Amino acid sequence: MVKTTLEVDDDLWRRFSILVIREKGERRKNEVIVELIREYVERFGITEDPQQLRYIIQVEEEREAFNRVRDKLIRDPNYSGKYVAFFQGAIVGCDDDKGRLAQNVYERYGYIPVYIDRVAAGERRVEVPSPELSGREV
Amino acid sequence: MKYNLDYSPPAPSIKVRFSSPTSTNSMEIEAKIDSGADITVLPQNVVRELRLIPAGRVTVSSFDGQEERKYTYFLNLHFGNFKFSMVEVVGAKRRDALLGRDVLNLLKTILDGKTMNFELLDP
Repeated sequence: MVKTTLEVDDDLWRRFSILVIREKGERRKNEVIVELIREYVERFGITEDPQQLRYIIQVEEEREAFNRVRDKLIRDPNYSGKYVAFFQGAIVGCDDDKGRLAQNVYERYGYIPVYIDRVAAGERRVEVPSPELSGREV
Repeated sequence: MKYNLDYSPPAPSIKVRFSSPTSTNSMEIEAKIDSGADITVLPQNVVRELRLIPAGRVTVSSFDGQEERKYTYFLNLHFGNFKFSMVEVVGAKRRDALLGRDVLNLLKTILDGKTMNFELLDP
């Protein structure tokens, strides 16, 4: 079990407290918050595989590192418009072709969680209109 | 090749072998030809079975405008005489794969719904 502290706006907390007392009774706020967290996780979905979760955390850390320097890279003609690979917070490869970049990085460092993205503003977006795609687990 | 009658309405689909980028682990599954998909989609259980490691993240827009963030994976795929290395795919909760335009644009695709035949060529 994890114990954590939340910072919540006074008025929002007061209204939340009243609602919980009204709907659930006294001393049930913790239970409601846990339920809300569970609903959030289920709605957006995340794998339960602990190894995949570790990979995702590592990739998210590399993505953060990329985002910290993204604007600088966009201004740099050596990187702008190209794909870069981040590992342990640093650039470990750059290429016009993302597949070739991934291949080179995996050959050099092994099959490890790197983050590969295009040096451009905003997140990469793709369209997959097939209705059966839905299902939020990543 | 014949359209797959398991889909309703029937759809062009083929068996595609997906393999991990650095090991011999591979899985062959049905993949529907999906010219509307910008990117190839892989069932999440294949991601798990092949022990793929995420390497990117994209925002995926669905048919109804809903957006989801999905992790991407690089892997090799092959079907018929075609082999493609280090294709970036997204994982999704579904039973079959979708072969998107990222792969289809490397080939000539002929769909003949009247006779329920299709061809994938590299002329």
